Amino acid sequence: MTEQTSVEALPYVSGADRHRTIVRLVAGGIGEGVDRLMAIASSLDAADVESDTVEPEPIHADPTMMAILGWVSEIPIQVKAVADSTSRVTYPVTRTAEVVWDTAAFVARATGATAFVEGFTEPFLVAWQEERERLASVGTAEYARGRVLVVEVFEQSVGGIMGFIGESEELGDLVREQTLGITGSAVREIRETGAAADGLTEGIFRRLLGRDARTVPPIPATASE
Amino acid sequence: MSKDDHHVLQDRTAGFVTRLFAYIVDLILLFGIVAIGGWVSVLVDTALERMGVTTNISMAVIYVWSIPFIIGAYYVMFWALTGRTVGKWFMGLKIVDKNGRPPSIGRSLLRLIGYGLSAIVFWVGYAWIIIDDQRRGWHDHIAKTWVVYDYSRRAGGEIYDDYRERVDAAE
Repeated sequence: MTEQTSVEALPYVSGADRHRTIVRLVAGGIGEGVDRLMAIASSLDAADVESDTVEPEPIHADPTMMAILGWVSEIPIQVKAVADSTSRVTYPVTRTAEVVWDTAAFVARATGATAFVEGFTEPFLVAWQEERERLASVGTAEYARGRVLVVEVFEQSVGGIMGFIGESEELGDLVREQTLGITGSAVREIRETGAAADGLTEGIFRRLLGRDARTVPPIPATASE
Repeated sequence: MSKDDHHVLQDRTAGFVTRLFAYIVDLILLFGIVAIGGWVSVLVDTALERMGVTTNISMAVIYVWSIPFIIGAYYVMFWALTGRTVGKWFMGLKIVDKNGRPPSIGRSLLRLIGYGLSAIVFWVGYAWIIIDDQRRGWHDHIAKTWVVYDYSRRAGGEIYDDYRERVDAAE
């Protein structure tokens, strides 16, 4: 992974080196995070095999998955902290934070933890809006440097996270499942409406025939067949 | 409907309305497949005509005669291979035999014949699902199959099934 430098060292680095240092810091942090995610994913697979639990928990109740999402959610906050510690490269770094946040939000959506992430999204986006307004007067040279930094960090962060998703069987399955999931909530709603209508229709006809309405659908009576 | 309701519904037999929705989705898809096939057959006929190739019977006619087989193959293939058609997958349903597995090809063929019988008397065989104690249509009784809700904890039955298989294998 890319070499890392502490935040405290930044004010003593000047010019182009300073920008490169920030890129290294951000990319290094993301790289470290990806490594952590990989480690968690590996332990997940092992835990699956060793576990006595046969029923997987819903993702919101799965502490390991929530740890992953929690870490991903913290990326932009960390990056923002770096941005706040500098003056000249605030724009590219905050812009990067926004991009990384989008990626984190994508991962969160893909893994079905949208509600969890929404708690982070709103304050971050509000902070970002304020930051963007403040940076509206930033000069073109700064903007050009910003673009370079954004592209570099974007490629590293998105590439790293997408690479992780691609290699992780667990997340890959979830992403594939949630590709439908973009319309997943709508599909779920249709299914729920259908299931409710099943009971309603059946209830009406059963009453017409003088039978009691069922409260839950029957289990297949395979043993009796 | 809460998540708990989904747990209640999982693996229980599905009712008429959900199955009707699934049926309509399949019909729409089959209509699209048949329409595209018809368009291709007309294109082939046109191309053959331009090349000066003469045939006793046009591709379009052959295609029209093959439509019932295409529709039949669609159902049998999906039932036997995955236990669900696209429509049933969309509605979160799957077809199982008495062992809880997708029906075999033979059973699927029997179910297809049952589809025809269910429809032949003003679709009474399908409407039977509403009043049947096990929510089964005539075709289900003929083929000894059940259509069950296939909800899972993660809204992805396949993932849940894979997980169960891995855990079972590990045990």
